[in-house]
Amino acid sequence: MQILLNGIIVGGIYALIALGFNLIFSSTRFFHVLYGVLALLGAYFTYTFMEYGWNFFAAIPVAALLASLLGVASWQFLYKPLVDRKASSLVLMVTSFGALIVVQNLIALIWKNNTKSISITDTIKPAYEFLGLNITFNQLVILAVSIVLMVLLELFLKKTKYGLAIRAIGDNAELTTVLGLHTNRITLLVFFIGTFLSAVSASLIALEIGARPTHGLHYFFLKAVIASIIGGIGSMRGALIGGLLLGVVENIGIYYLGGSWQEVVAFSLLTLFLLFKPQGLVNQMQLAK
Amino acid sequence: MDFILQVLIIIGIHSILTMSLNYVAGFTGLMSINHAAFYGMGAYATAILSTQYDWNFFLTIPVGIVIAGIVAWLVSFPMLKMKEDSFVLVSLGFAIIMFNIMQNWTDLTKGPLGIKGVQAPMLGDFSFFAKPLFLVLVIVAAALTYWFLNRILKTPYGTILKGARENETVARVNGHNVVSYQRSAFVVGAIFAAIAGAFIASFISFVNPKAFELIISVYLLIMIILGGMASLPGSILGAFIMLTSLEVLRFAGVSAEWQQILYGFILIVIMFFRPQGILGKYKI
Repeated sequence: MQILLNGIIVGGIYALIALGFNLIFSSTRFFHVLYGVLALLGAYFTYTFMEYGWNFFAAIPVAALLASLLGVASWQFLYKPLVDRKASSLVLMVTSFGALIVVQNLIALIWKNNTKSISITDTIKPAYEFLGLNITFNQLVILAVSIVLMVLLELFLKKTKYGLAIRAIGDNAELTTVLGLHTNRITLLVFFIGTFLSAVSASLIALEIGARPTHGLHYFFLKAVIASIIGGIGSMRGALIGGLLLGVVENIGIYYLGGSWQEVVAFSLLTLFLLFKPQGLVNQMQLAK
Repeated sequence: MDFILQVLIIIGIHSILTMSLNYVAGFTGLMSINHAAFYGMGAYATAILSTQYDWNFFLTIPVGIVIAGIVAWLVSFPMLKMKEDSFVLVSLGFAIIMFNIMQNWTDLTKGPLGIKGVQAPMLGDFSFFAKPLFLVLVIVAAALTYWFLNRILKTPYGTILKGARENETVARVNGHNVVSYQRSAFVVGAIFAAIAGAFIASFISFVNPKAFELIISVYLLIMIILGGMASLPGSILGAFIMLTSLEVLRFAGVSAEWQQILYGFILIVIMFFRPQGILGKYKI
């Protein structure tokens, strides 16, 4: 049970990262590899603000805001010129990869290569006991913030006209342009929300594992991709389920095999899905043959 | 002089890698970012057999080839279920799994410590330890790779490979099993990567997982995109430009981070202005 709980808590974060990723993917239809490292940048911003004595809960939104502005800039100045030239999605992805290498190394230059850890309080609080399960204060914060953000995102997408427009672009971008919507403005909004979600989740997970320059690609981006593919890419519900499943399976794997095999467990899960259910749990878009 | 020979040997080994990666990525259209994984398998096969069982270098090459070939064949089943972009991601995942295995399977690979003292190639009593001799050996291997891949691509089989890259549906309508063509190309690419691995293990006489990391695969991809997609001479040119510039930058004391930042920029600039690379024939 304890493993299950830990898995669900980490899974909630994965789900949040995957949601932001899916949001961007479903409206632009290419793999935004830079996403992971922008999320990581958010965690580093949080770290820096806290070094200046900010409160954790004050640092997170400001840091995420900064990261999201960079996300918006990446669309406007990096991808949009290429999309205007009718570049293929592969070109966009390779460009994104190039940008990832640049940002990741800038992070390494600025913050050095060692792990930076973030903690909310100076002292380690004892774990709470709840129905015989232990839950730490950090985990409680992670759980609460991810639930709140997910509910907000769901309400935003379902109840507001912007949410409707975002979903419309995901379905058919050309048609929405014909209908007179400002497609580019909505895409910018998507990049903003997506990066914001990922930056918040990166700061939260930094409570548990710290932040390193390589986490951008090896951790945030890959978790987002695996969770999305397992859940069914392009589907919000799928990202949620995929993230939770990945978190639980990984934690079971760590328990039995040890932490160094975590990535292998995650990719084996992905391989199983590719072999037997390539369209994911919630089928929305056909990615696989 | 010694230094120039060393750079030339490294360029030669990398041309084997870039040509075989171009065969997979440029000609067949499978943008794989796991070439370094197969490269690593070849290197580890040579390193382990040569240090622990005292095998001759030339006998270790076939072992590496068989291992890389079988692994490539097996993993191609889940991987080829994915199309273009998603394939890139899955191959990236495979690269990370392989790196983790090299790092964590310490009984076999000695983990992050690496394996020291890999022997130089020997034919009878004749050793290729001296750098000029080793260079000759590498050039022969690279030339054979070029000849072999060029030869395959001129056959009807090669035409179908390129045809399937351009339009999969048409190839399938014409009765070709596209996935099995792609699978065979993927395996051939892995085999040549393993050969290159054997050479690097013997030349540096040391292997560790860091040499086969994800970023190495990315470098290889930058080399072939820079040199030109679907062009074998382009691959050699790409390896030459990248590796000489790397040595020059290192000589000038530029840190590894700035080198990588530069390569990231190069990649973005190519994508903006010439997505097919210098000598490329195929626009991704």
